[in-house]
Amino acid sequence: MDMETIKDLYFNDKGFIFDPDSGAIFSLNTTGAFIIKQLQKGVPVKRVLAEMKKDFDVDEGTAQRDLREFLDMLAAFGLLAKAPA
Amino acid sequence: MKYHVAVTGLNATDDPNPGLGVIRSLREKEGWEGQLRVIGLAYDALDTGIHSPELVDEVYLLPYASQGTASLIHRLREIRQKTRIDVVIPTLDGEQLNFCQAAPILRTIGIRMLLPSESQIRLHFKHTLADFCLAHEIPTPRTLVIYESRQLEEAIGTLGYPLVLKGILHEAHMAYTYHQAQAYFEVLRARWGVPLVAQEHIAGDGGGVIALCDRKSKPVGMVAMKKLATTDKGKAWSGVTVKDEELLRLSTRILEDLKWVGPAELEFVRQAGSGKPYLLEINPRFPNWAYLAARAGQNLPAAAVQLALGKAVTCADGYQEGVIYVRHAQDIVCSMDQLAQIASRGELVLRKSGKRSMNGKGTASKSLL
Repeated sequence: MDMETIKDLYFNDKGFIFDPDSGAIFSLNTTGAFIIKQLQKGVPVKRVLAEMKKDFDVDEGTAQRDLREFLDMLAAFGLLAKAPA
Repeated sequence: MKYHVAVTGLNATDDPNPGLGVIRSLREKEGWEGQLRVIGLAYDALDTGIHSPELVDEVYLLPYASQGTASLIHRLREIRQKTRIDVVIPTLDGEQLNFCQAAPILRTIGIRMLLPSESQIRLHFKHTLADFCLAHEIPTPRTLVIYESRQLEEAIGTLGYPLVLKGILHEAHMAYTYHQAQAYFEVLRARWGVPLVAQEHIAGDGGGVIALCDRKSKPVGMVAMKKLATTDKGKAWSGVTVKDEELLRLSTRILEDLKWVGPAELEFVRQAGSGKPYLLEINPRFPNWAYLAARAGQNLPAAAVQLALGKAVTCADGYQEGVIYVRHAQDIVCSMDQLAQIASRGELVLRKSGKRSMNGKGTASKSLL
């Protein structure tokens, strides 16, 4: 869970995302925008989880599940960077 | 700036919203240059007019009309805290009732409108128009209201082929067989609900009248247009102003009978052979060819702003006939920053007060998820 890095995406602080490869546009909620921002800064996933617990009123289990689901969604939409061969 | 006018209906597809023509009319009002700020009110970040820098100075997204009047009032209060709005001109059928119901509250925050009453707005529900025409002896195609597909047989028996099937607010299809009628019935029911109307088809030349009535229901301006070319959906793509005195007289009578207030579009067809005019629709808003009327000498959107503000208006007595419009589709290029701003913040300022010109460069998006 700690290996995911995000692709180089256009995004703004309101959760608007543009994938320049596919041309797809996404709109994220506050939590999603928070996670993407951290990942774009190169923050490791474990740290993102810790930051989420700090910034949001959420318990460890819920935060972990939400983060995992969100990362899976990013992967499904092709927004995660491919691991180097 | 003297006039801060908000206009809805900014999307120009093959059946363009009227807001764009309304704004172009306002922009060309003599003496208003430098005196007008246009606030666009849109429903989607990709509404084309948002990205036309010559039209709007700033844009705000509204909640969809289906979310109701309270939601509209709430959003307009938010927008009003950010920018001044003196007058709103709503131009879409589906939003008119919400704006009409919101009018008294919007007035308390300084926003004025010139709108028909609720009962007049309901006349553009196609099943109520037939009753009105019958009661006022206005020629209109024979119409039956349909709730279930089994009523189609009776409608076909009475009205014959081709049978025109219309959704309660939008969309019409012509059916030439029973199976076609059944298929269109299901499409319209799924999209717009019931009732539908079944109408006899009157073959002939299509056209319309744009009109504006003051608060005392006195028509202050009126222009007749004949369609020259239509899209495959039957929507006008080109038209010409005509001095059709019969249509103008009939429109005046209809609007006076209705005690109409505000803008209106009356759609007619002149029967081939007999030349008899049949009223097809009354829409409680400006048509999407309002700019043609302005260029022909009657700038009714500008007059609507002045009337909404309680000013006296004198419109030109007549207008120039033989003025033609032809629609033209254009690709607008804008930056991702621009789209991101309107999509994620619901607002976009293209020009600060007192400045003109701005256009971004970049790549247009392929899809909006």
